[in-house]
Amino acid sequence: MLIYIAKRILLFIPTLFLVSCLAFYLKNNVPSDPVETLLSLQGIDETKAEFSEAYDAKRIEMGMNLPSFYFSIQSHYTAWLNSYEEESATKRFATELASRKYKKTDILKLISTISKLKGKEQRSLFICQKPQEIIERLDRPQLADLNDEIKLDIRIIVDGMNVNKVKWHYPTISWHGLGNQYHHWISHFIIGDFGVSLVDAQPVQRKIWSSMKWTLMLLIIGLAIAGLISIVLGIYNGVNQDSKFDRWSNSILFLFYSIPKFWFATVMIIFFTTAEYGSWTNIFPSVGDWPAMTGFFEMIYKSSNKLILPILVIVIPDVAYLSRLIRASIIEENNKEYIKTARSKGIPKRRIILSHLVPNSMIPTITLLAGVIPGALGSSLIIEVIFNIPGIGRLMFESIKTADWAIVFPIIIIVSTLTVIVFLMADILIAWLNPKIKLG
Amino acid sequence: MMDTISKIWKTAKRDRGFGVSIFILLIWTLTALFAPLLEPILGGGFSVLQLENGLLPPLSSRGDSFYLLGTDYLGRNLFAGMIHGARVAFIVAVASVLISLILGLSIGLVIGFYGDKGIRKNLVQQVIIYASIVISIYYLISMIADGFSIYNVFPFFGVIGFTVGLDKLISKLPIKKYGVPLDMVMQRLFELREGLPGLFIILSIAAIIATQSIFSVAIIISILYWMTFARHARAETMQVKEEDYIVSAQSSGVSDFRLLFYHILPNAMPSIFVIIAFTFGAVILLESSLSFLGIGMPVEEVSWGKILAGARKSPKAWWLAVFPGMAIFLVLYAFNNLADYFGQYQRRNDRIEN
Repeated sequence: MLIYIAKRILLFIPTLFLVSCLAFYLKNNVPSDPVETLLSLQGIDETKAEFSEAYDAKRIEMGMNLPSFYFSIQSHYTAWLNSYEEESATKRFATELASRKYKKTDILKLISTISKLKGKEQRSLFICQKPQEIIERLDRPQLADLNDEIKLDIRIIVDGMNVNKVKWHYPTISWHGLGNQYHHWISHFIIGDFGVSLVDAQPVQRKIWSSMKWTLMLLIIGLAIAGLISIVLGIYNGVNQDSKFDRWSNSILFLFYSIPKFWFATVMIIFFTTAEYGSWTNIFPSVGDWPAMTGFFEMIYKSSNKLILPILVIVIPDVAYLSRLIRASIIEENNKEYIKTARSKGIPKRRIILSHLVPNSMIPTITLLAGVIPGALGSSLIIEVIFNIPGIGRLMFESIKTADWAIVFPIIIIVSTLTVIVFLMADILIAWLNPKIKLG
Repeated sequence: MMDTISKIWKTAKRDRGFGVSIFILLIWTLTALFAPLLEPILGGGFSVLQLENGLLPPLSSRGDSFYLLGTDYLGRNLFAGMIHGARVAFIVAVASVLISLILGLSIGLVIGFYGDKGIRKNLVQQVIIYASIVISIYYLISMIADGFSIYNVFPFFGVIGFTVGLDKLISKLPIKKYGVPLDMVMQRLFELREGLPGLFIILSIAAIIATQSIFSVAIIISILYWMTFARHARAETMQVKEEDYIVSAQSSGVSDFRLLFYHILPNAMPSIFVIIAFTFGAVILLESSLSFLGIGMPVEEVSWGKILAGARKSPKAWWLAVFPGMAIFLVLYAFNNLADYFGQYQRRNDRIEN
């Protein structure tokens, strides 16, 4: 049993590693530049004089100057850039040129020629991204008093560069060690430092935890109610298979199973929170702001009337899904030989159900209940958005809308971790219930 | 063809749920296919704004135009919007199910058939194969990023050809062979997929990518859903390949390719049908959720989810909430019903065989 649990936990590590890699990959490919956004929150934007220095300093502080992963597979014509340790204008210049397939020797020659210039002129050339831009800038009046010799040198180098681009190329593997962005990010992540929000510079972890409480509360209440109802209903219908109640409730539940939760929620809000369709339809309080989260039970007590609708929306489709499957597993168990034997021996029906049928159909039921949780976390997003509940789903939604990527990816990792843990717990519970695994 | 239709007709007459589902799906498909022809009849479709006709209830007429399902707050004809929504849902669902079916089925069949020990290579072969996979992916990315040129196309095929040639040569060396852990690697990927919150991932990818179109949504959805097909195809293949007729076909020298696609695939298909129906439902739900939330779907594209989201702005207009939601619900119901029917059919067949 212990070996089994240890094995399961070991298998759970690669999954989390892959999740974190995926989140990291997505984080590095977002359309906006987090450094620029964070600086603009501090009041430093591109028009300010100190921008470029502050930008470099911030990049180093955030570890963005480091290579992105433990190793990299690059083209040979960009691999030589790894030797630049510091974040600088020359490095960015060289990176831009190298990614356009200019040769290393040409780029270095160009850099050394430009470096002969004075500060301001040098800077104005190093922010160019193409050699053609440099030529265009040389003709501008700002650079008119430049040394003609250097101008000519630059022109010659650029002409040579354009003719002599990299043609054949091959991949190279370079090893970067622990000093890389992923390591920097994940080691902060593990100790609970998720960085700061790109919208209000608040610590991300605080925002996530405070909204997590809401989502977990809804999840637990919803699952407890749905589980209880569907177990009772499933067992009752399974035992009384093909009775009138079974047939009716089954087909009604099948209809409810197909109802999209967001439609259900929208219809409930439109019809039952306003007096638009007669005063009797104004049953539930309208969707508004929610009180601040304090204690778990205090919360439920305070906003209980507001919780009814969201919980109804969560519970009904879940009951429709779960009870049908629990019913099926009860029926399957009910047709087995040992139940027939028990029945023919004259054991009372009640005892057969409670001490044979229910315990033996427990294993598929637990798998089902665990399987509902990821779906519930996913649909929490839409329900929280519709009912304006400040949970993790709404935080995710609003962060995507406001391009606050610093929140989006930690949420993905946390929700995946939660899902994996739920599966793990279900597996362990099943192993504990199943004597085949427990003893073997 | 006629045979299949008459069979479906007979089943529909016997099983009312099946008949209703087929009927709903038929109407949905026809609406989606003929939407470009229907929209001009309805006065130019959903994009025509008539602010003076805002929020008309169903069955009302203004001037010479008749609004069967009413209008929204901008005076757009809801019926035209519903038709266009049917088309959007159809395109997204068919495209993503097709992509994930082809990808998932072929990968699932291969890993189910070979497992971890089916393909045996010695260590030198394995190292060369992994290296050449990395190198060919490098040139493939270069082809996508820089465009096709002799400097990436030639090395790409060169590396593949070289590896295939070398592989044959090295396999004759007297070194111990190990299985290629195809199955193990794929299983980790499936576990990753199981742990990932699907809607969250799709939302964030959809928000990140630059070009937003209904096809990009379909591709994002199929990135996640091919694994569902692959997992089921794998499980089914592992079961089917133990059957006597497969073993005897194998011993009579049928090639692996023929075995996979002529013998195993047709026998794995009945349970794949259940997954196809389920995935159709899931994809439609996902697409409507995305457009309901207003992320990923292009702004100018009208869909059921988007109309439904608009309903929250005007609670008085019940028709804006009821009709698009009803359309999503009916299509979902039809697919779930179909999946249920296929599942029962398969169980019945299994019972007869045993």
